[in-house]
Amino acid sequence: MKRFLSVLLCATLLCSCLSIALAEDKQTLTVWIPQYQFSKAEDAISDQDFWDGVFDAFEAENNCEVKVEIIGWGVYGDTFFTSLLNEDGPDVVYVTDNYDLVKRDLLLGLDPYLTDEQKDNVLLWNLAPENAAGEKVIVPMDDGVAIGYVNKALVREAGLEELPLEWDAFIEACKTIKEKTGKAGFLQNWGATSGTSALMLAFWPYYFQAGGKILDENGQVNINNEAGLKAVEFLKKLYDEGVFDENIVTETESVDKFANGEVAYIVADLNKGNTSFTDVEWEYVFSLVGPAGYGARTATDSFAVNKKTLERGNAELAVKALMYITSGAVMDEFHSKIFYLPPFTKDSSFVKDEALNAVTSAHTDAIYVVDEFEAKKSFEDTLQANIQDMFQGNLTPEEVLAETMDYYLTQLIDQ
Amino acid sequence: MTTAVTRRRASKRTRREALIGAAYIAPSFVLMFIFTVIPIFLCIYYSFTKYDMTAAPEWIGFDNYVKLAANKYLGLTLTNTLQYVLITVPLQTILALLIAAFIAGSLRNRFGSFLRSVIFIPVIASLIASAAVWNVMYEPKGGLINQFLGLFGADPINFLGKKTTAMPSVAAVAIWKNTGYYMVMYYAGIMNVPADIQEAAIVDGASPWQRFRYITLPILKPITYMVVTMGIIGSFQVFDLVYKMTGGGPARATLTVAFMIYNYAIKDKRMGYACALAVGLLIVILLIHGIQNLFFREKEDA
Repeated sequence: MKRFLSVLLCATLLCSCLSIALAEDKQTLTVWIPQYQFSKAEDAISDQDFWDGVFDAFEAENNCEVKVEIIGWGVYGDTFFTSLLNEDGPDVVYVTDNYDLVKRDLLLGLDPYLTDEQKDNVLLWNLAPENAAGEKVIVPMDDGVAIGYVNKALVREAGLEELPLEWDAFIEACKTIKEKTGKAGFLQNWGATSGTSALMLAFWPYYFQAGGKILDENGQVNINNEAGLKAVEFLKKLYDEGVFDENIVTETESVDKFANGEVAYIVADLNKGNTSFTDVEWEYVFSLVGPAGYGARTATDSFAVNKKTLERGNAELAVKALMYITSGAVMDEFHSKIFYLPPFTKDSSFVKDEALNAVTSAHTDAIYVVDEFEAKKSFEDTLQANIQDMFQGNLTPEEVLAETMDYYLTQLIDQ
Repeated sequence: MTTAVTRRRASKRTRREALIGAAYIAPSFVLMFIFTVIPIFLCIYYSFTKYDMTAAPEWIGFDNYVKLAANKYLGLTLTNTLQYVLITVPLQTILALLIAAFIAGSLRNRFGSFLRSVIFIPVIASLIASAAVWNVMYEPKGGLINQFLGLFGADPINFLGKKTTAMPSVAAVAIWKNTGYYMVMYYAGIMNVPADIQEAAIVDGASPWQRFRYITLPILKPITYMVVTMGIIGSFQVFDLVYKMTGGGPARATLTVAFMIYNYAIKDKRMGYACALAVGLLIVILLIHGIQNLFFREKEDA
């Protein structure tokens, strides 16, 4: 018995040593991704389960261990920034605002690790920022255009054949809808608790429809221009003419009201249609039409690799994981099971909604990205607050733009 | 000779007691020193630097303070913060005192204990969760408060969406949250008021109000001092409620100093500038605390 126990003990020790040795051979990767599964359906797969499953094949193929951490959206931007400053930050990371990361050289230059074919596969590769060495540091993804939704039944109820999209005609139509149906023509989320959330739906589209560019020829932020003035004046008119409901406070309220049939037109992200508006007869429209034509904003979040992977010795594996995540096969699965976004690589083919695809494909030249720049979030907060102040009658459109730029240049950036 | 020996023994005992006392407070002192005192000095140092958390801090002298002096929203932010302090501190102090006096005087039974627990519940509730619930209650359409006001024919009020009502609405949540905590402090103080003094006053024919005004209130003065001090310091640092409920809006109506510090430090990654603002806030709090001390001392002398 004693001999048996001794042999058993030795065997256990040997196995432990062997597994430790094998584990030490394996490279490890940590991947940070924000939560994207918002469905409450019972059969909805969680982000964690989805990514753990996706990485099983990658781990087997590369003899490595991938630890996926799902982070909540609440403070994601601040969390991943500070994590990249730390020694134990993630290797592969989902990035929202990249300006500070690029400026502080926290991301790995990807060019040396990628083939021309791989770069060519990424549809928005030209939008990726570069580090000091001229290497692209992110794989940009199309986060989806902020799209218009029209309640067709409400428009008909107001005696209109269709909702006119040109700014002035649109305002008149909204007034008619309110007069004839007692319901709102148009609602916007001006009460959002962050300027970024408010502006992405309620300002930047109009700025682009007025022909505005965010960065001037010197690469400096400047919205105090003709397009800016037209966009802000349009917003003021919407408010003064009683189109905007002054009670709109939250980000979700306009969507909820559209879902309840209480409003004729809203701008929202492109995922809302098929999931939230089941009780309304609705259709997509690309955007309103301003002095310069159509214009819609799209977001470009991205995936990147922590530059510290160079010191950790797993840079190559991290880039491999990055390209695996962003590959058409994985993203098609992600878009079908977790959250729908437009394809952002050429080898991606999943299209969830043909109607939406038709609307966005017809206006690809009118889709604009809000550039990254220093202190962007605070700039957007300042602009939002000044526009709110204009609604309260304290600022003119000219003052909104002048004060925003003045505060930005004197207080928000170090010149 | 005997006197000298006794004195030496007494001095030895005093030293030993002092050492034991020091040993008791040492752990808290070390923690306080590491997590409070050192950060204050670091903050003062960073306020003279340009520091973005990645590169080493660069000494720039008084530049941050000069820039801060020219910040056009600083005055507004200080006014907002003061407005918040002036609403919350007096109201939460008076409410806590009145509730404690009422429970201690008229409800020394099971119902009183139950009421105390109910009023204390907001203290243990998460501030962010509370703010989320109050956001829903403040909704202009369908919110509980507007539904209630609607029963009396009142039009819906956009509590958090109007400049005039946003700050009082946020402050009301803070009062709801803090009153229970200060009520417990006052309740403990009232229960310690010597019964014989109260009885003597009753024999002398003092009315309940006179007993409260001339006996209870003066005895509670140290507690009031602590409640007001903690209230002022806490209110000047208000951040979480504003962050969750309004984001500083509408049109900066609820932008407070602490929220502004957060924006500069975390959103813009400008630690030096944020630290300069934090040092400014520290000075303001110290000044107000000094004035408050003078006020309480004068009352004491009188």
